Amino acid sequence: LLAALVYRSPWVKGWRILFMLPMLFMPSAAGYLWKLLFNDGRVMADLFTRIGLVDGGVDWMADPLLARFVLVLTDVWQWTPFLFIILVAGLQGQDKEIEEAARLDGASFGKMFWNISLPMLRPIIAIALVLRGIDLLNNMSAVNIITQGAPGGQTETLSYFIYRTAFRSFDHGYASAASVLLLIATVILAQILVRKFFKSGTES
Amino acid sequence: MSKRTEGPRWGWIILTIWGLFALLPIVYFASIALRPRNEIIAPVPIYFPTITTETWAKIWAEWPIAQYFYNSVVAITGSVLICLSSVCPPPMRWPATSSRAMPTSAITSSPPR
Repeated sequence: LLAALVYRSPWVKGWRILFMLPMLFMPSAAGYLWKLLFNDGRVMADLFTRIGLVDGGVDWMADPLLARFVLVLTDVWQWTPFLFIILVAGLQGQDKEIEEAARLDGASFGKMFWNISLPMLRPIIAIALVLRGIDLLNNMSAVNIITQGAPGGQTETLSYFIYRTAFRSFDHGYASAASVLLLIATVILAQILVRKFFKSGTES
Repeated sequence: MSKRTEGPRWGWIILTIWGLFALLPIVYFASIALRPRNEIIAPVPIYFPTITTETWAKIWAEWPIAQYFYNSVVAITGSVLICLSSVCPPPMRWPATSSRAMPTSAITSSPPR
């Protein structure tokens, strides 16, 4: 939706620069930023208290659901621009005659989005999903900086487990075995996503 | 050539909300860099901190930024060069597509306008 809106906005360049800013942060800095906002600086808890959502004193890292929410929010903040820029590029590469014809026929923004833009973007969405899927399996820095697996390993990912095993427990054999397993899992996931999306993409 | 169709009027509201979501954490981060240490992690968040440039002065005085930058440039340049030379197909490599590589039939067989 963001890509479709930006693509049609007269200030497309300005929006593109603004939306890309989070992606330019290195992942560890993004993790540090959101850790400050949620945990150390207590800014979010304070803001939610002021607008009456909570009674104050929220410990974001004590509740698995809240800790996961912080990790998801960090990822959304940083990596939505990646999908956004791929999709805007896809939209800009589309044949504008089709859109113009639909507009002359009286199609609304919603209809053009669902019936023209989205189906034509399908292969690009597939590529973006494959790349993000691989990224998510390898996501380590946010978990390492924000939660470190807390509470009680509820937010620990496989890649963080590998890091912890190798560099904190110094069990390099165990970490290597887990790394190979992660590689196999990534290959299988990528294969499934590529086959599923590209097969259905060529059919449509 | 047809023009791009404009989006709905409510579109700018969504774009502005997302723009704020993207920008405000960065503004907060920048404000952290301009605070004294005791105002960064306080019992109650301080939204209007005392402005200080001590950390920036420290960066300027102590940080071997030129060395870090040089290391990054060396690593990335090497990586990009190797990637490009291994990924690009032969015709795209330096300067294989010169004028003598172009077949004359491509010039002579173009239809008259």
